[in-house]
Amino acid sequence: MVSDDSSFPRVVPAGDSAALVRFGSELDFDVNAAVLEFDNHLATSSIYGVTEVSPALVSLLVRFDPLQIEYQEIERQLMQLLDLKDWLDKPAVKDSAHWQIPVYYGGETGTDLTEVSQMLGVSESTAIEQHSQSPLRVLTVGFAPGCCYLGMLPENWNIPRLKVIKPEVPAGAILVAIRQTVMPSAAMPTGWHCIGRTPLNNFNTHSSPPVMVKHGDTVQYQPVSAGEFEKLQTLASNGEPIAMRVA
Amino acid sequence: MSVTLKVLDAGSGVSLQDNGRPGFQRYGVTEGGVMDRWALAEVNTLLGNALNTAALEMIAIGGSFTIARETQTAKESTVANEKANEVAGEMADEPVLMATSGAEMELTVDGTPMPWRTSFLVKPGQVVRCGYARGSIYSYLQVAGGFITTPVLGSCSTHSRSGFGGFNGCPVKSGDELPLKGSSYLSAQSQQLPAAEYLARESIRIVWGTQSDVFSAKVRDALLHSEFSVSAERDRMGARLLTDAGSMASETGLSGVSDAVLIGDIQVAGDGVATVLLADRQPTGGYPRIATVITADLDAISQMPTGKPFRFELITASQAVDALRQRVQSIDNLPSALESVTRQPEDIPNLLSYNLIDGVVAAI
Repeated sequence: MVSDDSSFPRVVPAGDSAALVRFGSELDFDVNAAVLEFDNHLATSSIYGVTEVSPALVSLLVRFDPLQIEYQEIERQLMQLLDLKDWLDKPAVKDSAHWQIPVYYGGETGTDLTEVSQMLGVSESTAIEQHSQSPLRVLTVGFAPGCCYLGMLPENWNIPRLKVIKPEVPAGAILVAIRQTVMPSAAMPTGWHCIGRTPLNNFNTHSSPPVMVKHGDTVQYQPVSAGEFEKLQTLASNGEPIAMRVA
Repeated sequence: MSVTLKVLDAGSGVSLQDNGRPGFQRYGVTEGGVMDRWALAEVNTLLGNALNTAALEMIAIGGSFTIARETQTAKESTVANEKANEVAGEMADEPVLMATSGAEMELTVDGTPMPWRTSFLVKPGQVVRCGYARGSIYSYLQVAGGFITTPVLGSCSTHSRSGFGGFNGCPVKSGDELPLKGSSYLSAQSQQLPAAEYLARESIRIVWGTQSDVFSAKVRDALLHSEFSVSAERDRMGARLLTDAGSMASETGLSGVSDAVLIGDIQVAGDGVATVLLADRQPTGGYPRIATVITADLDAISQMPTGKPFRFELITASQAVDALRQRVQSIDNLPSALESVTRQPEDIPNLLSYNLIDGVVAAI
């Protein structure tokens, strides 16, 4: 494969100790799947001198020790792996888990549910139905520990982010914008609309890996009542599993 | 017998840091770690510690600390117990070797001024006081052997925003008692390292980044030919820059899909202001990044005095790797740069009273 400005995937240097493998320039479900599939493949093919691989939405960062291997050699080996097949042709993420995750929609955390429903032009219950019935995939984990970005929501969910940043949403907030859902594991500021909350804490420094739901996993949200949420949150704080791994 | 470093008072940013936790970026965990890796290597070299041993990082404001030894003395008055108490009493008096590095602060032990970037003995009860940083920003205080902490994801670095690492996942505060591991390294003679060249540099070396092409030639040119300084808006995540060059904004790059962020990336947000992303940066970001500070100059940009003018110097990737190689060699050579401090006895009255029996080690 020739790496010119118009072709994907391509490999470019990033700083003095990393290479960036780009599979596209716009977020697309299949482009993201290609990133995740290539990430799985890289995990099985060890390149000498590589210290860390981290997949993002449409790209993948390969860090290496430049005192052990030159960038040109990293690029050559990455291109060799990229040339094995057409990664963008019907990519399929293998070995992923499927989760059912409880969400209490609306309430004191999901304060934007009404506004989001209005933007979608549907009732709140329809918005909940659409959000919880969409089969979602974890596109990437980023921004903060264990924070999942999931997609893609139906096309009418392509709503813009907020103009003014919210100073804080709690851990487990269910955030939406641009056909994606973000699920943070700790309180954080956000520019996304908050429509609910899950009792799931996806990050635990004592587990290996430290996240339960990860890249490539599929997720379906299950609406629960305020009462159930309270009960599940107590269970979660006692370390009980509250998300169900279906497959 | 347990030995602790007791915090009498501390600036708001005093936290335990080592070289960070690489390998977890895919789970949203930033590498973090010391803002000045060179200084961490120095402070550990002064004490014979492994180079990655976590030290206390102080941000502009230091604090007061004292060594506390807790001994359990036998109460019954038997000959054996008296002997044990005598030994315990002697041990209770044993000094701990400490050292400093990074941005220079006014340092005193019980009010006596001590030189910076030097190792020194501190007796239990004596008060070590670090004042304000002069010029640069990040200063380090370390004990021989290091502190006792449980590593989180392979590192003792504090990441306050995530609430893990260090001591209880947050900066230390007045009243904390930080347990020490103890060390068999005890040099009766204080050692020093020469002043560090990288503090207050006039240029910072960069390479173009993965998104440089979304910036106009005019903006890229301005980056290379304008004077910059670090503004007061700086923290462990990043440092916003000031310049007369005008807006550094990219016309096309604002809606970029977020990807992995590198330490040293120079990011330009919608307001046109450039920010260098540092140790506690977020692991991913969507703002375009115009260039990346080379690994060998990360300590220098982190420590750049607020308001001091500097320029960016564009170099090639292979020059950046050469600079890194040189830096790694210099760190390896730090032990040979150690010099004994010869001081007048009258300057060090406390040192003379230490019970240094033929260099017998202070085991804790």
